[in-house]
Amino acid sequence: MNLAQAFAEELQRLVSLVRPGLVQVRRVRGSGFGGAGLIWRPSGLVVTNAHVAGRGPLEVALSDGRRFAAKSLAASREMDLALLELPARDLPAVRAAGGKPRVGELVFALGYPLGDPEALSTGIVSGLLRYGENGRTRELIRTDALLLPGNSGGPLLNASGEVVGINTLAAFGGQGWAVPAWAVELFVAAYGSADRAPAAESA
Amino acid sequence: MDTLKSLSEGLAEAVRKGAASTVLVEARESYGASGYAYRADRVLTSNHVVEREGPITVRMPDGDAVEAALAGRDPASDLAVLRLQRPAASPGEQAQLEPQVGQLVLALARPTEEGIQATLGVVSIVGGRYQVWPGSFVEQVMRTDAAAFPGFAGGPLVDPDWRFVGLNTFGLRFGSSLVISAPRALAIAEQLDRQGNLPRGYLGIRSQESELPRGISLGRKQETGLMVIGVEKGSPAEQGGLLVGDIVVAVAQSPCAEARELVQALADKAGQTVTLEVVRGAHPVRLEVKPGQLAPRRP
Repeated sequence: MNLAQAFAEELQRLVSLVRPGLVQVRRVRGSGFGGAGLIWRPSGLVVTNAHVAGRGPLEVALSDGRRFAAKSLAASREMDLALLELPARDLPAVRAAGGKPRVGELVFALGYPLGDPEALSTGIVSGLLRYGENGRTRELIRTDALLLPGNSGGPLLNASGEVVGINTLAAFGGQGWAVPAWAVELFVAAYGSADRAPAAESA
Repeated sequence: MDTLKSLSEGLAEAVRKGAASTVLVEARESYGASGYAYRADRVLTSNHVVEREGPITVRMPDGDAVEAALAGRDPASDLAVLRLQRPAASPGEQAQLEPQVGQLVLALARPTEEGIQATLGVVSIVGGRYQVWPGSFVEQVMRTDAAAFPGFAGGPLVDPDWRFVGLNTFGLRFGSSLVISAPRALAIAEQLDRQGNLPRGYLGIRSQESELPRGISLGRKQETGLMVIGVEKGSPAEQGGLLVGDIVVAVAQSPCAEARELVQALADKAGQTVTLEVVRGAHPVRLEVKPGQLAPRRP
């Protein structure tokens, strides 16, 4: 059982390396499970799903217990991404994977499904698929890792602990979907710099 | 992180290699399905995804579209064989070892032109039998907990060395995918390729399991048979002289103590004259019958 033990130990180590970059996002008003988010830049930029962020004020809790009121910088419903800014510096950001993941590679999902404490699920990259809506398409990662409400905004990690995607929705038949890290990077690059941060899109 | 990384790379590599013989089958209106090339010009797929006899297009991993004809189909095992117009496929290899419960498997699929899809799981059951409808069974069925997404039917289940372990057929049934094991699937494929279907012999009786009357000795350890409780008009059974009340105890020398043994014994006897061993009253008698062919039915 050495392999199984090595698997568990390495996975725990991987989670502990990523944990500082994982945040919990809660709406100050209203209810719902809230969701997860990721510290994308040490300068305080946090990425989550647009459907997690909603429109109202948000509170973001770090894994070290600190809590911040978050300012919404941008949101895209089409990509289901929202960019938040925390009033803090030198935050422990996650590492994004470069390039596209390979179908079949192991992935691990972290989040707060159903409001539970941080939970882990495993699977593989099941496919890279275009998903069309209103004549526009975006590429999504499909996974067979178990995703539940509350996993939204959390990371899909590869075997090196890099973020390959942001979990965005669970569908019937056990299929989960994630926004690829490269799309997140483009979104953050477009809206994240201080000099060109537009007001949150109301789309 | 060596364990995670090497396992991850191994799985991705198995998907990449197995993807070469996983093809897209376009034979229904709703959504594409998958197929497994077991020869350069033969593709195994799931019967229920072949909704038309033509035109059928099979797309190779590189996008090459090849016209295909339906060589044969078997609704009972939910398998169908497609004959490609030209040998364009890169055939997979069959696993050498018997599948084992607990072994890691990948379900591969190509329901769209966007590339290979895969899910991971283990073999849950090996060697089971599956009742398709009363009296009709598929043998050597396996199950896996690898998720079956839309269009996964007809795709191969491969082991981490990307060898063909079985064919995904019915998709989710009772929460786990049904898989026809590789040896069984390939044997059925050969038969379908040769003759277009798998004829199943039938007698035209209704029967129930019944204990044999006291004092009857068959010269073997068999205490039950199948009492005839109805004979279809004009059926092979009626033509052969079978009567209500007869107890069928063997077909072509294979003992029938229960219904499934009768079904199995008749399976490949359509059109042949076979001897029925029957207990009539207190006497064993022998009757000659010529089982008919049960037309393949859609599930």
